[in-house]
Amino acid sequence: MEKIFIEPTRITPLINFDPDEGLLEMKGRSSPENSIEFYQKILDNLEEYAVSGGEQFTANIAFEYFNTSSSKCLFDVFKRMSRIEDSGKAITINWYYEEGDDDMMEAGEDYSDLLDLDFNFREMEED
Amino acid sequence: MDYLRSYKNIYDQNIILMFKGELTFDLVTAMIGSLEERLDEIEEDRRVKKKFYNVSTECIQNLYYHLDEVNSDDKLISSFDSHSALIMIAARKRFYSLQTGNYIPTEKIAEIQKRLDDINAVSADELRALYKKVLAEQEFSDKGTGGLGFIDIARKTAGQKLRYKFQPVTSGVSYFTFQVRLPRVEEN
Repeated sequence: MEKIFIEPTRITPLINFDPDEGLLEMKGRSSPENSIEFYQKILDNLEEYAVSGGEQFTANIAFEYFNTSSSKCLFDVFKRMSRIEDSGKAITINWYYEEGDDDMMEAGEDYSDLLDLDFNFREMEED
Repeated sequence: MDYLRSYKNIYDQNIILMFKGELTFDLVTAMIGSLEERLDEIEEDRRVKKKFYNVSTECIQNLYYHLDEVNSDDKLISSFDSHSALIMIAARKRFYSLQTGNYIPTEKIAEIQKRLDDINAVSADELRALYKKVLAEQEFSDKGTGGLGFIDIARKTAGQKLRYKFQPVTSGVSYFTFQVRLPRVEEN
């Protein structure tokens, strides 16, 4: 497992994966040309974390926007988190969304419901 | 040749983007960026702005992914035209109109039409259920698209029907026009 840090662009989110801390942060916008390629490394690392990672795992997710292709990749990301939980580790998923952004809140509810994962929904005030 | 008149016509219709030609991904990104800047000037409602960003990105990226499907050796459509997109986005008083046009293989019509009709036939709640079903069950296509584009557009435009038209061009090629309206004011 390796640390991953990717600076955000206008079409890709900030990614910060730190296996030592048991932390994954994703923040910003996601509409890359090839989302499968973009998320692959994160998927591989989460897969490994389920096997050899620490006992705690926290995900802080704060998307402003993601396109439908990224949406499918995120489904796979959460599926991996579900495996981390199944492996007996304690997992915390914080889903941040901008105040009044019901669409983003619903998107989080959909993942939580489909994969039977507990999400903490956190509304952020408008800046 | 009165370009000023053409320009004024366009201006009067509040067209915020008009484009015809082949698309590259960088061009798509630049277009969406300039649309976003324009929206900052003309739209006050933050939520509408977000929905607009969402729907326009999905519409234009969707076009981009499907433009290479017509391989026309046909004399009636030049190879440039066969891969050309048409995009027109207008800001009206009560809604934004997003319209796209592209050539498609005629054999694809049935599949696309069924997807659009299925989406138009269901309520908002059912649309959400449909989105979740496709999200969880459908595999990625070769292009990395997930079959969610139209459903997402319909969800974000709050019950507006997806309008479309298929017109035959040659025996194997048709023209697909797609239009969606995004309301600017909350429906009460």
